[in-house]
Amino acid sequence: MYRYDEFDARLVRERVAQFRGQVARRLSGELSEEEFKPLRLMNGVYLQLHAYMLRVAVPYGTLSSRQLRKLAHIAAVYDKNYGHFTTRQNIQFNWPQLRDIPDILGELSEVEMHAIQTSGNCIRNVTADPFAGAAADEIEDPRPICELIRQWSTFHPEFTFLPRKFKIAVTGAPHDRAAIKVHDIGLRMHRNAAGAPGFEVVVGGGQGRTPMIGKTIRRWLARDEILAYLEAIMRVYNLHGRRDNKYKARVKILVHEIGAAQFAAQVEREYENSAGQARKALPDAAEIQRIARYFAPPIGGAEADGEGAKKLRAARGTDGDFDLWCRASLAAHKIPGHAIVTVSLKPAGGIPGDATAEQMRSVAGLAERFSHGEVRVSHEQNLVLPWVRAAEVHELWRGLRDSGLAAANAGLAGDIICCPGLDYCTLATARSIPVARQLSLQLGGAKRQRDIGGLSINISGCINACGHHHVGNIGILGLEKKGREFYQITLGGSADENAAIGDIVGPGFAAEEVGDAVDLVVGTYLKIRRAGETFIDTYRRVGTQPFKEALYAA
Amino acid sequence: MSGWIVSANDLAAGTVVYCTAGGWSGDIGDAAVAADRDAAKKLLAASQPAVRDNRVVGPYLVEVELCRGGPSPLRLREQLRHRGPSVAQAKG
Repeated sequence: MYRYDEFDARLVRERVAQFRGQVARRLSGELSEEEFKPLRLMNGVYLQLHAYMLRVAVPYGTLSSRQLRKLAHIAAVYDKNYGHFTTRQNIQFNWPQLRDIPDILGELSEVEMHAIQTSGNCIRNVTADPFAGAAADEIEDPRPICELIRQWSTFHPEFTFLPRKFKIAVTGAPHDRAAIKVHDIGLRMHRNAAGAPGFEVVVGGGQGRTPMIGKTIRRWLARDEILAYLEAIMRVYNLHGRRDNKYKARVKILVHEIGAAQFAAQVEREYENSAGQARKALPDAAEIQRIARYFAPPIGGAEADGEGAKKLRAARGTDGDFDLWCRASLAAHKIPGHAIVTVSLKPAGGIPGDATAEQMRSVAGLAERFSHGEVRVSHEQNLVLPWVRAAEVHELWRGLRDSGLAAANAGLAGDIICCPGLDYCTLATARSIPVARQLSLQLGGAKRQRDIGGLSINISGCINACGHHHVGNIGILGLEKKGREFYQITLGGSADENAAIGDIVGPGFAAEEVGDAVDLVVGTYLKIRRAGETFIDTYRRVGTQPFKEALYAA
Repeated sequence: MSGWIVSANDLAAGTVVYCTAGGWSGDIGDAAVAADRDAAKKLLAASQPAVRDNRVVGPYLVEVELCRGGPSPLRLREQLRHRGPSVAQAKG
């Protein structure tokens, strides 16, 4: 894992001291709320319905067990004993007191964490494939590039006051687990004709009130040109992005209005004019290699364990519950005899993404025993243990089960992605968590969900779409109409390499009708699916009509 | 019968507070109630010194129904602010 150098450490320490002074001045009245608000937002502090909320960055979703223990400590000491993992691979604490936040940030800095770039109109915390470095289908670990982007973007003077927030996602694998096509910039690693790894550059994707799939503006870009090219994109955006209307200020609107070809031409021109040959070469290969060494896998090919797979198969054969969990939770590893394990934070009837301090400590302990002390956060609001020996998966599962963390639903219908909604958020128009809880209970146990097959259900409590409802196979958007909550359903969304924005299926439903509506959609799919089809396969074959007929027949 | 009360967040703690006859309280039952729009405007104006004194953030009017138990917010958002999240938090 990346370790701070002296510059990183000093920068974070100085920021904590700076914010401590700002909070003191706010509490003493030297700063008004109007003056303080942009300062607190630059440090991840929001004022929500019931309390302040602190959003802590987990750069590219990678955490050490030591960091996770610190998050557990913060949850227990400064909050209500839990934290909420978000769709941007971050964690939010819902109840900190403003006067405590400088101390919390001080504690975070002890484990090389902070809340920088988790809010405000800056380049936000970069996100990545949660299986990075370990996935069998990966070309290269994208995290060294993510770390370069982090270093480049943090406090970049030119990009600290952008027209709006700006999100970058990176994947090093052909199967997109980072939702790159619905980010302001998405980077997809692939090889060119000569076999060299580089990035496809996708710009102008996003969700919110104007959902769009990003457009490719460069088919292949050499790795060592990445920062200069990103800088060119940011400059074009910074120059032309609208600052007069926040609803039209995201880069997706600019790309849409001038067209991807024109946007690409302007970026290429800016790149040629301002980057220059010397800049293009930055960072040099030695620097990339230096950073890449931090991400060296903790296990090598020599530790390939041929016997491990046999042991795992044997355990699965004798324990049905374990087998069901394995089917959902294990992903193919690049090193034989190992597995990537997804730890679902979606127990039936639970709050998606929430973990108690005890659960965080438990995962940290299990990561130390079974995953070389490394944990990932996924944009699906789950945790991932990336370095598990196949022979030890059964023992790991028992540990997870003891902590209430063995839900066998990763990637299935019960793995519901959900924003905090009106239960916490000032922007929300309806509640999302109660809908998620009800659906997770009615969708049934692991066997039924296995029968339903891969199905993503995403719920947002407002049009800002933090629950990524636009890209859920079934998307649910909570709105308010005449003082009552109602929910609009979309179908056919997808966040992977075949990304699609879901189609609105028809008029919305009252809160008490949503469960039945989802049952009808799932039931219709089960009736009409062909052998081997998942929900999205069936939807793409038949379109909305059969679902509309089922939903609105009466 | 309906009326208006003034709510805000406590500056240091962030918690939900209500303007009372003599200050601020976390208990909605203590809230001062304005019976009509003019009285509501005056109540909101009276809450402003607490902003200047760094006691609260962002006071605003909340429409309530007057029940036997005290004022009860009409909108769901305010009901949730009053009662807390409608979902049980994760237990430690």
